[in-house]
Amino acid sequence: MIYEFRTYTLKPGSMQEVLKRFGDAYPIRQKYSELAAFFYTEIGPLNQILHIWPYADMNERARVRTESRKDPGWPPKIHEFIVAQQSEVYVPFPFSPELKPGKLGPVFEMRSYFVKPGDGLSKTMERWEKQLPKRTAISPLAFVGHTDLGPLNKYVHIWPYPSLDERARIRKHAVDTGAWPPPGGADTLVSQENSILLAAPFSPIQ
Amino acid sequence: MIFELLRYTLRPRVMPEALARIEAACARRRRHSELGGIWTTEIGPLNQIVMVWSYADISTYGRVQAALAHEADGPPRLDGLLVGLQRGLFTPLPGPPMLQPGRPGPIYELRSYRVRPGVGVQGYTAGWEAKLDERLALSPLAVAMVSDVGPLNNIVQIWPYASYAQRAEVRRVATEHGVLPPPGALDVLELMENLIMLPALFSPMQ
Repeated sequence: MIYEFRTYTLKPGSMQEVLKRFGDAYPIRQKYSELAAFFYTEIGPLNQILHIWPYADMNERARVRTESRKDPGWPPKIHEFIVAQQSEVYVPFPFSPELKPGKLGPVFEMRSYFVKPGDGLSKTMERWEKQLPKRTAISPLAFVGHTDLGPLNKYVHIWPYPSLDERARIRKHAVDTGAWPPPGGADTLVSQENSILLAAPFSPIQ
Repeated sequence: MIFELLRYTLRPRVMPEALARIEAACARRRRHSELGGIWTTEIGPLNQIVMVWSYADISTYGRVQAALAHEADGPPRLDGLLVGLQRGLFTPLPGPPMLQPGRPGPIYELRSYRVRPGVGVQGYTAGWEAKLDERLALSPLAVAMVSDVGPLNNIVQIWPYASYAQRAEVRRVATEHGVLPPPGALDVLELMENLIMLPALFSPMQ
């Protein structure tokens, strides 16, 4: 299983129109394959949408994208609003939950970390696998995976929360009780950033 | 009035050490000019320290920098901790007295906009001034400023909130009442981003 993360930066003020046009066109695209999630940024780089598409593999991705683009209703007519586009392909960590439809949020924190080339990712996975049950006993993880295409030596994790205040409380509790983060990190991490995402009305994950 | 915005990017996992060193250097440093606030990033690019210093005018800024270069109370020693440093000088946007010591937080949202070169800043300022009183009736402002030296056409605002819930409510009401975005802003803004930061224990703004 792979997940393609497509991040589009939009012109300020165009978000509502883009969400409407994308949402209206999505039933056409759904005939070929379904979204895992569709988010927009609330804190971080603003005016961005992130659509996450799951595929069995890169061949399926190529086939679905070629077929869907022959359909006159796809892609949605949002080009006039797009400032920049980025595509990244992620491979889930072996122990990552699947991004399945459901009510998880409504607030999602996406944390993106760069690690040192070499053993940065393998060390990270080992430590996460050991520590994660302690963390998920406090609140769930939606996804963790590393890039296969795009900026390399990078991984992202997505955490759903009922609210931002609840997020602050949960994270403090996880740190105070030693449940999180996994030990180490200074030897693997290069840089860290996070953003807060909200789900579009038509996102299968809410 | 001139504001100096400093952003230190640290290696992951060294924040407590860096803050301790900065705090130790700060007491002496504050004899030269006023520290508005010092924060650490919570959502956005992580492992950053954000500081705002204020000066009566640009010649005071020059004098202070010259004095610091000749004294032992220059910048704190952050060798081995620091991976990046950004400095910009800003002038205030129209508004109330800024960077007043107090406890309007503890959640601080920094919003950074890039406006179109040319008409941009003036185009933004007119709408900002028109809606300022209505906006300030909803929640206080820590500082709003526009770049004078550094990346130009950059508007930076720092808004304190008691909680994330208050932030969401204030922004919802402001948007519903047409206070946000300020009139004309969307015609001149090119890029927008925000981040959440929390005050260091020794920050004059808490």
